Amino acid sequence: MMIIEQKNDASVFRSAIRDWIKEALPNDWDALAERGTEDDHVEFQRWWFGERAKQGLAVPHWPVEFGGVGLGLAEQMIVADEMARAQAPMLDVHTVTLNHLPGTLIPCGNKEQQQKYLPPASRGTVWCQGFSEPGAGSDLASLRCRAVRDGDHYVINGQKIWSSMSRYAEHCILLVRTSTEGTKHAGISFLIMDMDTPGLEVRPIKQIDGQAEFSELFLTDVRIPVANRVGEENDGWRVAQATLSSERGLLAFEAGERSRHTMEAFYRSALDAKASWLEDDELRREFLTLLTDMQASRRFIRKLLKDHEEGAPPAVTAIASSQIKLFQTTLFQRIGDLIVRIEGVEGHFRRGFTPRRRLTGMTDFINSFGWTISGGTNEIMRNLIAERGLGMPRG
Amino acid sequence: MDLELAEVRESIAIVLEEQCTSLAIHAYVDGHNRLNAELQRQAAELGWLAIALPEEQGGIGLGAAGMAILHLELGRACAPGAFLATSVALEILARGPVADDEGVAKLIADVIGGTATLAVEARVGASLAGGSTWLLGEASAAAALIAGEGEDLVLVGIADGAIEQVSIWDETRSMISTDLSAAAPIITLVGMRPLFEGLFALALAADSAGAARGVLDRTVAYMKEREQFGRAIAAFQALKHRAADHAVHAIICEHLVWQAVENLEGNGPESRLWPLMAKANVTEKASKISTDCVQLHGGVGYTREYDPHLFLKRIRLNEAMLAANTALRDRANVALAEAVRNGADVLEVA
Repeated sequence: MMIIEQKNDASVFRSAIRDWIKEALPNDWDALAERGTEDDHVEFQRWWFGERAKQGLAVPHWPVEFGGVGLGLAEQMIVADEMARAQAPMLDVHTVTLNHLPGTLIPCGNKEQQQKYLPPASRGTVWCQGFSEPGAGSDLASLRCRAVRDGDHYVINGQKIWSSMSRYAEHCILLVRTSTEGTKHAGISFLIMDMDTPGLEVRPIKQIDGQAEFSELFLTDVRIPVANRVGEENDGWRVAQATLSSERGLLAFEAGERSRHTMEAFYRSALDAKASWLEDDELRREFLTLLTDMQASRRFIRKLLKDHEEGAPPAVTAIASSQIKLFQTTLFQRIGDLIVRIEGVEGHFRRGFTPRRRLTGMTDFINSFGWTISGGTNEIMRNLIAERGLGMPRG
Repeated sequence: MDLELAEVRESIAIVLEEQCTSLAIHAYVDGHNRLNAELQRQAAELGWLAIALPEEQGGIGLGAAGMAILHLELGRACAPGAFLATSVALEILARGPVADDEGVAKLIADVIGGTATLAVEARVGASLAGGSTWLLGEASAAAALIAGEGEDLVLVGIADGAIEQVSIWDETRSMISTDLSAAAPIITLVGMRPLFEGLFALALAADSAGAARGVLDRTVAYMKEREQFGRAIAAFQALKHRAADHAVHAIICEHLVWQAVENLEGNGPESRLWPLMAKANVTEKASKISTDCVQLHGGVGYTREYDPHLFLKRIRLNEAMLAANTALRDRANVALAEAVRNGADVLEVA
């Protein structure tokens, strides 16, 4: 029996997941990952996706017709919580597949698109996102990647950037400019691009930590069928809002739970080792301060999920999402900063690929910028909170 | 429960919005009205002070959650009076093994009826040597709770000759000093100091979280009105980003208050961890918010006429009370270490 079939009894479901993870996942997977490469870890994530899929635990939140079971929020939280508790591998490579793709195609895609793309995605096809451009970051609507209609195709020329996991992706959700008339928001269309289309070049960008999770995409006369357009021509901005609003909530929940467990484990091993920082008044007290802020942030996320489930207006939950994004990601940075000071020189030792299973000095700290910059920079979050939340005028 | 809480909270907010206006508070601190007494009369009528007490003891029966909403709203309004000390001390007396004592029962009834207030030791256990100590409360307080030996508390009578009004910056509350050698112990509350400290911490956190919200709301409103360089200063990104940060931290403060509420009871490590940490983190966040709210007001923030300084002074007094936040974190650390060693999960959120 697949584990997902036990979803109707919360405690049975929870312990079934817990037992299964113990059995299915090698306990030393993070040590293996540290010895391997980034590519190895992507393969490992694909394997883990497949294992989860066998138990109905890959896309349980999707509707039944597309390969999920329409799992309710409370049960989704159980899955995320157990994955976090076991410090099981994240499905980073499938972030767009799991969230943005259904978030776009279910409300905005047509039947053919849904049938063509969602079932294979539920089995693990990798998707990436082609939204940002060198000249269009926070000001996404100013994007210039040009699509010109040629019969039943669009011909695309331009450049995309910060496209996570695009080296591994089979498909890309792409925002292009189909019109330069009217407002900048009014001339955008939303396309699906196959990553093996001629004219597309993917160039990895080395990140602050030496890895290359994201890439630049160069598009030269790339031909995409008009049938691959999601929504109407020039209505892509509205579609993109659906895509981007799918990003928060449960992802923040799982990130918060993972962080809780890594902090707890860090503290436990410090106690066991009688670590000297526990005798340092400043460091010890700061740890308590951050652990307490973490607790508040986890409560805030639960409140958002509850409000969302009880049907709070999207305008309200959108502001709460921005507030959580700002607080939680800043908190991750503050935690990284503290661990750097706690670990001293050892915090600077480079390890191999680190799969975020425990707190690791400089690695966590430098990677925390990924949290504070991606998904809408924290500066954009502050604008949204001030303008939409506090009713302040636009600058 | 949630719905009833929200309704009671709303009813408290409505009364305070009506009575405790900015004008009324300024008139009060300048000695032109007796807003504290007026609020206390209304509080007695509406049962606010006994909000946490079970109904059979004359209360509303909302427990720690009731304490939280009362002080969140009193703080948000910057309401003057002896509510914080009185409500905390009342709850302790009502829960104590002494509630049946005739004198104590009369005291409880008087406090619920609004004819008496109580005081609490501002820095708990700061003066065990029998010298003088500071009490949060009014000079007319009927009695005060102070730290006794070990985990005990002592209820002491406040003798007229032995108290002195202390002039403090927070003009919305009152502090007195008393000579403990002249104070008459009424009764000892054995083993109740931890609960008292948890409850005091919770009330201080709630008052500060409410005050942070109150001062921020007023500051945001001011920023939308005040124009410079031909536009509202709220349009300047450097300023609006600060306001956005404060708005988020103010929400976090309230979540910490609820973390304290849910972990107040019992003898487990969580009851020694979360109320104290809520007080420590919330009072510091609220201090930062109110400090910047004075700054965001510009020149008028430095005047007595505007509200931010009232909140700032109140929050900073909250921060100083109970115990230094550094000491609270050290105590919380002992509780956390105990929990982690024993495999107790103190981080679970319901």
